[in-house]
Amino acid sequence: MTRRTYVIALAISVLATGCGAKATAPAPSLQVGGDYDVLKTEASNTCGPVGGSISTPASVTHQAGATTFAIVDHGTRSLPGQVARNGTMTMDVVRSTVMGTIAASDTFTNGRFTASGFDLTVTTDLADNPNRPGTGSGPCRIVTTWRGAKLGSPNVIPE
Amino acid sequence: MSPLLLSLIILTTQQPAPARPAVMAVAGTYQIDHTSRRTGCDASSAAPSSPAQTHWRTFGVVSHAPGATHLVIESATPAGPRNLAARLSGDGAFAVRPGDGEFGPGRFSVGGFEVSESTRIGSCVVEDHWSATRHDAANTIGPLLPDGGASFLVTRHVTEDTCDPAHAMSASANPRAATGASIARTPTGQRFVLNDHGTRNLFGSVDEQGRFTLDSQTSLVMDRIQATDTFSGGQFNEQGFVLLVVTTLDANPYREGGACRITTRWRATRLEGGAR
Repeated sequence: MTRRTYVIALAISVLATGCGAKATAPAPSLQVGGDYDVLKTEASNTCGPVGGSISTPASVTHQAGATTFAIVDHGTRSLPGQVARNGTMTMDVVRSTVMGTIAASDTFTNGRFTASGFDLTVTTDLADNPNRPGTGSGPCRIVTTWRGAKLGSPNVIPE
Repeated sequence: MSPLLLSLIILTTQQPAPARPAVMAVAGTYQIDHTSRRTGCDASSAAPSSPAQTHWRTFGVVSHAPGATHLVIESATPAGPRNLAARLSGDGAFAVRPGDGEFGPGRFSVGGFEVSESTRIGSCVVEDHWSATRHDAANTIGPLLPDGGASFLVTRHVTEDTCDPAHAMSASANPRAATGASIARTPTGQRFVLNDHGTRNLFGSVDEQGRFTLDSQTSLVMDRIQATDTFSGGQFNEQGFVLLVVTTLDANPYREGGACRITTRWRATRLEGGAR
């Protein structure tokens, strides 16, 4: 092997070694923040007729990679929660008063962020029926599904 | 002296009012029906599967002091609570504070209120019409102080009587008829005369919130005791008006003794058929 041939062979060897090494790409971080178009649809309603739906805007505040987020619901409330890297979310129960006197709570289940938005089930339990307040008709429940469509860039769900 | 007196009072206008005071009572609970329409959505719309028109029912409560120009509409879960501050003007019209959403002009009626909100979601504009039905009672729209005059049945409850303590807090009735009275306005206020069961005219003025004052009155009791009536807490409301009357006597009309005082709470109910 001439000296020139040796140098070329060495260079090929080095290149081959370099090409063969696997580059470790940084793992994508969870990103679910942004604006959403949320379609809320009644799935069941023991307080009155079922079947209503409404579209409302919402935004999600979330720092890339963080496990906490908040859905800023249309209007006046911010709903905090935790989100896993696979997009599943959990949220705290929110208590409120309906019509000034009826105790109510919203329980959030089946929550999951996806690349295109999020899905969520909200169960609203009311201590008295707001359709017939003060009549002793007792508690009732409204179950609502939320389908949030992400506006702008899709969410990033790492797992 | 009867501790509880029931009497009839008539208020009548003397001349047409140049401006009706915007005194309304709309506080209460409401059922709110939403009808939403989506328009203007283009291909980039995030939720093309959303229906063009939706219906939704929620519930709310309006906080409002009778006659006040500001109110709060709280719309409840499950749609997502809203808390809207609004300013009320004449004949039930109201405007939601701009920071609480893009609402058009709203209006209260006897049965509820109507208002529309415009919300942009992506490329879409959602027009959401709120049609609210008063749940617990009817609204009162218009002035609580009757422009054209009205008759009232007045219950007087003696809450304090230092002249004859046995009379205080007991109950009896003494209905008496009244003759006419009149309301006259001045450029700075709304003067009126309240005819008290036909025996005397009480002169006063009312503000736009329905609060009123009456000039104090002096009289002679048993032709020898100087008595002064002072009036406070006058307020027209949905039913009629309330008033507190303190009568101070220079001498006790029942027995030997010095000055004494009688405090009486008036609660007036507007009679059906009275002009408003």
